[in-house]
Parts: sequence; C-alpha cells; structure tokens
Amino acid sequence: MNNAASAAKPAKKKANRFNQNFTGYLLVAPMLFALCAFVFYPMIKVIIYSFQKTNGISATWRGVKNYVWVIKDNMFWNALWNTFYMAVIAVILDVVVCFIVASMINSISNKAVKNLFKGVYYLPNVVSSVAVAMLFNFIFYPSENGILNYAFSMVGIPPVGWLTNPKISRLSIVIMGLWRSVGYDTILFLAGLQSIPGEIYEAGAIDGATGLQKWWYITIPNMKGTFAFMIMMLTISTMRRFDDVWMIGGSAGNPAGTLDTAVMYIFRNSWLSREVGVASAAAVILFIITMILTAINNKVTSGD
Amino acid sequence: MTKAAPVKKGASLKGEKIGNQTVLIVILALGTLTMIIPFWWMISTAFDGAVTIDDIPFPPRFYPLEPSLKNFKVAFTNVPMVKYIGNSLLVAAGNMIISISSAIMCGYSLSKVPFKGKSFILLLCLSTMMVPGEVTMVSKFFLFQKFGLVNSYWAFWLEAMAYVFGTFYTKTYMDSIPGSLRESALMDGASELRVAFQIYMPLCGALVATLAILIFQGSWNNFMWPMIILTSAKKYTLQVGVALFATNGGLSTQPGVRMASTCISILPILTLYIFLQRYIVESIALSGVKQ
Repeated sequence: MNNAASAAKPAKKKANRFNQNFTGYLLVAPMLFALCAFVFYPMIKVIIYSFQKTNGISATWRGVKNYVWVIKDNMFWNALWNTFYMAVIAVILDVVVCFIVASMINSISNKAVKNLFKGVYYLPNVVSSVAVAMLFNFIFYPSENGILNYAFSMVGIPPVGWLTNPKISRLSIVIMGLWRSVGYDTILFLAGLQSIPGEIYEAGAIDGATGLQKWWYITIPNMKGTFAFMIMMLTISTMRRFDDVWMIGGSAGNPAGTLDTAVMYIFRNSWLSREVGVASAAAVILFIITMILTAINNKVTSGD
Repeated sequence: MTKAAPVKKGASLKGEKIGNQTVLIVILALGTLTMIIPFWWMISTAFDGAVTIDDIPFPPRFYPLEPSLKNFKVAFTNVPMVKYIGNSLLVAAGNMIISISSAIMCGYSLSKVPFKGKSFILLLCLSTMMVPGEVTMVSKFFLFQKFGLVNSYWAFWLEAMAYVFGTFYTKTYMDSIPGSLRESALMDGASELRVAFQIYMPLCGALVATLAILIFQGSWNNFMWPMIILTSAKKYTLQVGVALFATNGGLSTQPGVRMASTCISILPILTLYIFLQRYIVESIALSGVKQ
C-alpha cells in the first residue's frame, strides 16, 4: 500500500505542477497583456513612427529625416531648454523646501499638532493641476488686483507680470508646482526621517550635539537614500511637465514660448500639426534623455 | 552648589526646548497660511456676486462683498457640471475596480503561486516603469483608434489593467501573509481565483484602501490623456470640461464664474480628503517607501 501511494505521487505531483504553472500564468495574464499592449507595443510603434511620415494608418518611410528635422528645429531646443530650466529650479527648490518643512514637522513633539500640519500642507496636492492653474492665474494677476502683487505693492515693489513676463513666467510655474507638491514631497521626506534609528540621535546627544548640529551631522547624511530617490522622482516628473503650462500658456507655451515644454512639443506635433513622425522622433529623444538622467542618478547614488 | 547646577541646566534646557517648539510651530503656521490663503480667496471670490466680468476686485477681498450663488448658477448653465462629475466618477470607479483586480491577481500569483519565470515577469513589470506615458501617447492613440476606442472610456479602463505599482505593492503585502491559508483552501477544492479574492483580498483591507485612494485621486485629476482621447463634449471628464471651458475665451475673464467652477471641480476630492485625511497621508508615505 505504501508502495502504491509513492508510485502514484510523482504523476500527481507532475500534474499538480503543470496546473500551478498554468494558473500562475493565468493570474498574471491580464497585467502582462496590458503591459504588452499599452507599454511595449506603443513604445516599439513610436520608434517605428519616428522613421516614417505617417497619419497612423498609412505610412511612408522617411529614414532619419524626422530626427534631422527635430534637431534642426529651434522650437524643439527652446522647448527642451525650458523643460530643463524648470526641472532644475523645481528639483532644487522642492528638495530644499520640502526637506526643511519635513524636518520641522518631524521635530514637533506634539503628535496632534504634527498631524495637523501634515494634513494642511498636503491639502493642495489633492487638487488637480488644472484647478491649481486656474486659481494661480488670479493669484499671479499681473496688476495690483492680484494677491501677490498687492502684497508686493505694500512693501513698495511695482507689479510683476508673473505669467506675462517671459523672464519670470517659468519661475512662476515652478512656484505654482511647488505649492501643489510641497505636501506630497514633505510626506515622503517625513517617511525617510522616521526611518533613521533613534539610537544615532541618542549617541549624538551624549556627545553634546545641539538640535541643529544633529540635523546637519546626523540627519542629512542618513537621508542620502531618500534624497537620491526624491531627486530621481522629481526629475522624471518635471521632465514630463504639461498640464500646468498648457493651462497657462496654451499650446504655444506663451508668453514668448517660455512655457513650451518637450511634452508640449510632442503634443503639438501629434495633434495640431499632425506631424506624427516628428512628434515620435521628439518622443524617442525625450525617452533617451530620461533614461540617461535615470542612469546618471543611479550611478551617482550607487557610487557612494 | 555643585548639586544645584545640573538641575538648573536641566530647567533651562527644558525652557529652551519649549521655546524651540514654539518657534517651529509659528514658522510652520505661517507656512500653512500660504497653503490656505489661495483656497480661501477662491471660495470667497466664487461666492462673491459683486465680482465684475473681466476683473478681480481691487484691493483683493477675502470675503464676498455680496454673498450670492450667482457665479455657481452661471457655471452650471455654461458647463454641464453634473454630467461631467458623473463621467469622472464612472471613469474613476472603472479604473479602481480594474486596476485593483488586476493588481490583486498578479500580486497574489507572484507572491503565492509557485510557477516558472516569476523573476522574469517581475523584471518585465519593473522595466515598464521606465517608459513615461507621454512618450507613447501618439502610438497609443492610434492603437485605440484602430479598435474604435477613441472617445470611449474603455481606453482608460483597458489601460488600467497595467498597474505595476499596485502589483508590486500587493506582492510585498501578500508576502507577509502565510501561504498555509492557500494550501488548505486548495485542499478543500477552492480555485486559485477564489483563494485570491475571497481569502487573501479580505486580509488586505489596508492595501486595497490605499490603492483605491491613489487610483481615485490619479483618475480624478488626470487631464492630458482624457483630453486627447475624449473628442465629444458629452464624454468629457470634469477636469477636461472645466479646463476647456476656462481656457476658451481667456483664462482671466469672468473670475467669479471661473472660481466657482474650480470650486466645484475640487469639491468631491476635497471632501474625500477631509474625511480620509489620515489614510491618504499614510498611503502616500507608503507609496514613496515602496516605490
């Protein structure tokens, strides 16, 4: 009897393994299908389009002409420059401001007060970038009717054309974006701060370090991983800027093309000028830039 | 004397600490003003019947001079707000159901079902996070066009199946639940699908709530892709409807009406936030840690 059972086992086990493999694949199938259909296939298609003149149905081969066109297009470089400009300022401002706010919230000993601040700072983040743009269009009103210019006028500064002056418009967009994301990024920094073990601080306290010294010599070095993660996340998201600049500057990225971004360039060529090949070439270039930035970030952080 | 010194030092340290706390709270409170004032101004302007058609009041007012619902009435007659809110809710509900189901199935399978090629699938999922949606939007649009799904919510719902973040999160969450539950349920003749949804999913309440919140917020605030996909005004989601209404004819005209429509567009999500504030903030913290 014992023998019979052990003889039947391998066959059953084999069937069982097949069954498990099958159900395993079945359960991941929807996800895999969607990834192939909506990520991999479109990515390959974009690369193909970038060598074609196409309207999505019929296509003629164009070689690298689209890339040449994009590289020779001043609008593209302008859009890319704006994107970088806003990305750099936004990443630096975001990291500095949010880390300081997070550190301050983290040092508050009263838990209820702490949670209240977390809640209020996060508030603008639930609002869409469309709503934020509509609201800030009035906050940044170019005359003294606007809140910000009114506040400026009280200290004697003449009205600033926040969204109408091409020299300032990009900065205003960054400030607007910061207002919306400060809560979100603060919460992420707070999570990082809370993961620093308390013993390190106790050791610091024994050595007689003050609060600010502890922050500088203990907290910041221990937050390296969080900083790297935040910088990478913010870089990628700021390279994709579209909603707010479209709301404020329209498809042309006004004023004077300063709010034109790389994604806007892709959008405009896809749906307004119907130059799908050109849009795809620009998209591939943007993708490569994003990959390079990610790689640099990975290299820098793993090098430590 | 030598005994008194430490006590004195302790007391001054304590006093210093309270002082520090007060300074921190004052600075942070000033910061919260920047968070709240724009909202306050928006609400006050929306309810202000005295705001003219083409300019905002001078000096800036933080209370409605003539409290009225006039602006809201104009907003509701110009923009089919109720319809748009319904559309947005429909899209969000579909996204939530489809994304969560897909993430639970895939995450459960990767965590609990032993099968070949798991690490490859994980790698595949991870690699897709490198592709920003903006890069592929042109080809995705033509793909949906080919299948007649332009101007259809299925364009969002089908794509919602690909929820890599949710899958990873579900996998790590389920890794902490013992696999013995699955084995005994399978012994009793339950199917894997039933085990995933009827045994493991109820144990993942916090996970499902987190994902639901994140998906709802993302879906509700999504703008670019719906604007591209939805071609008829009847199908617009709230963001698209409000944005196109606002940019049509100049963003700065009719400030009262603009602010009223903005108020309405953020009201649902703001209400949700006020009630679920703690969970939302927690889920954001988690999403950062796990990403």
